[in-house]
Amino acid sequence: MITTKGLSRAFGPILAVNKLDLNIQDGQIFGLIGPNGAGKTTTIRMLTCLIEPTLGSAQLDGFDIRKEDDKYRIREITGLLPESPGLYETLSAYQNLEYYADLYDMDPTVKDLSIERYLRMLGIWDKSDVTCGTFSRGMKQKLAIVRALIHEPKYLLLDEPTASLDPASVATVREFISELKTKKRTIFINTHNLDEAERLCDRVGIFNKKLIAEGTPKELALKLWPRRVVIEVRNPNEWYAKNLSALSGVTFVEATGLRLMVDVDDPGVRAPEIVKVLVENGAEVSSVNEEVHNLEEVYLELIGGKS
Amino acid sequence: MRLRWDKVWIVARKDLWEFRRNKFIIYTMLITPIIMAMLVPIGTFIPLKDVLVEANVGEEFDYDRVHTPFVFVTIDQNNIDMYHDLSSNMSFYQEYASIRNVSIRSVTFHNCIIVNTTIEEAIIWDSVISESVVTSGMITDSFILNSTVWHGRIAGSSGTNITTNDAYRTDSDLYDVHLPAELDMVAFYRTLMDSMLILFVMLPAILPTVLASYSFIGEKQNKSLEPLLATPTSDMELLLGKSLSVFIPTMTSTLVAFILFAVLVDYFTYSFFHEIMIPDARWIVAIVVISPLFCIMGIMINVLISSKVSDVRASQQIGSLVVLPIVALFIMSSMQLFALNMMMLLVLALFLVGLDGLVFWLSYKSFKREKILVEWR
Ligand SMILES: Nc1ncnc2c1ncn2[C@@H]1O[C@H](COP(=O)(O)OP(=O)(O)OP(=O)(O)O)[C@@H](O)[C@H]1O
Ligand SMILES: [Mg+2]
Repeated sequence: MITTKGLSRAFGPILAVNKLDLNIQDGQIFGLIGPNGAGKTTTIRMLTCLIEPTLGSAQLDGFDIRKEDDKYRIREITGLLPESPGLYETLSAYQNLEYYADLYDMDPTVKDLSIERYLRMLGIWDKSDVTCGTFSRGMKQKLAIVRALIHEPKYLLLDEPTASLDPASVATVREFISELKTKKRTIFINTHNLDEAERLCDRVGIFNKKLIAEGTPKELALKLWPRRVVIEVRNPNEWYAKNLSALSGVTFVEATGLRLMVDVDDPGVRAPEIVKVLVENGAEVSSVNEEVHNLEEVYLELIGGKS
Repeated sequence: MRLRWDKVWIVARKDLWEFRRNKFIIYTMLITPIIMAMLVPIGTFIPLKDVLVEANVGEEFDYDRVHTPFVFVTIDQNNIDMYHDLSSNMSFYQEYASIRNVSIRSVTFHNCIIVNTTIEEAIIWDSVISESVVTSGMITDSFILNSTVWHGRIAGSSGTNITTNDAYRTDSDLYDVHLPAELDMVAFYRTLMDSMLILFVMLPAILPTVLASYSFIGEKQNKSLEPLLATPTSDMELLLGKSLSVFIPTMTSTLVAFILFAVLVDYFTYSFFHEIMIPDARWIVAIVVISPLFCIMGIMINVLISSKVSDVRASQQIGSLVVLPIVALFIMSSMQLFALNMMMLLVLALFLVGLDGLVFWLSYKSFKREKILVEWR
């Protein structure tokens, strides 16, 4: 479990992270979403004991990032993919992984097997001796992710894993991360790719210097907007809206053209009742949908609207 | 502070892998020993080779040249140039005489006192030779003072302040013997060796400039420090590992250069000195103690530079300033301001130990992961 309490970091007068409180359960993928300069990288650096918080604290698996002795334990159980992969381009893929495996004190036999397994997983086992400067950017990024998890860390922290990749590479890297999701492992992703966060993450935190909202993408949408059923009819009639607003559980009705927007407390219960009333009133219902707000809308509502 | 030497080695080994793939580094590390160790002795000794080989001629001295022909001369005359008449085929033989201020050839002297005289092709025994020049002579059981002996043989004699070349000496007690100025191999050799000694301690201070700039700045430019710092490796282990990766090739290159150099110098000078001149105690202290200390200084200064600079070339340029104090040392030594003797070397070593301690402490202070990420730009 990753918990942070009032985690803050200032660079001189600049407050990069302000009183961040997080609770990330084990086995989850958590996405920290925020604009450039929000303090995402700073947060990950604090969690991996690379820089000290100015205030507050954080614990990974009960180890405190501020305690000198715990720092080594935290480094042992975490793997970091920084903003730039930072592979040694003149060394082979194998050497890159071997270096980190050795730094993480892996047993030599386990190390060899593990490197081979991951290189096969990436499909570059036959190129394990090739200098990795020749690899595509997507491949480098995947290799860097493997480097972060070669020692099977409990916590994998990825700082913008798909930033600056072309769409095809984004897809392969994202697929690779979702393969890692099946394992019992906590993954912390920094991203400003909302689509990615929505697809990959169990929970997300919307963050700009401080945490603005936190939850599953759905929960966040619910916090922002009432649940809304959108019904299309072939024969619009002003009576429909009036009849519907009388129904219990309906908080708001709006009719525009062929569409009826009905805010309800529970679409699962109310939608059939609404349709029944409409049909009884002679409406020809062509479609019934619950309005879905994607993460992007949530994000823009929370962050984009403000700036 | 945590320090595990296996971790240090892992860090060093990775840098060595990288160096092996860097052509620039390989060339630097290979070319330096070649230039240092081979060009200098070859360039110096080959032109001198004739001189060095002639030093042996005395052993094959041609006695016939001295015995014949003997010629009549006049003695005790001021500045009269004596000459022999080959056709007369007479030999000149002088006993119990005092010979002064003359120039003579083809003579035999016995029990004479020879002063301020130039003699060629002579047999001299039981005599005193003073302020004179003897060329191609055979001097036996005599006393030689303030004189020059060119070619020939000196046996059973004693004397002091003798300038000599090519003279084969047996059973003699000669003091203050030296070579003619233009051929003063010993003096020349000493000066050359002093400069080379300084070059050899300078080398391990310069080479780290090339390597360390890659080891530290390279990593910084490559942005590979961040994931590295996220591993359970202590700052000390990283600093020592990276330093070791610079230290190993630098000292290997220096040692290889030194061995090549020693072999070549000994090869060229053996015929002259008849003994192996290097390594001697001075060289051993220089290579085993001083060079590594300079190497450590070079590395640590480069760590300090790396924390301020983010460009390999800039760092190399600033780093090469490390040599300035050594160059100063070099110049002072060649101006004979001090002798590079054992005492001096040990004082230098002690001074370097202190200096190394200081720069190590400073670079360790600059090598903290928070600083590296936040301030190393
Ligand atoms: N070493 C530093 N020195 C000074 N200010 C810094 C430093 N690192 C980060 N900052 C500042 O802290 C703030 C947060 O930076 P951070 O890199 O954490 O943002 P981010 O969310 O990762 O942004 P991005 O999406 O661009 O990666 C920024 O205003 C940045 O200028
Ligand atoms: Mg960032």
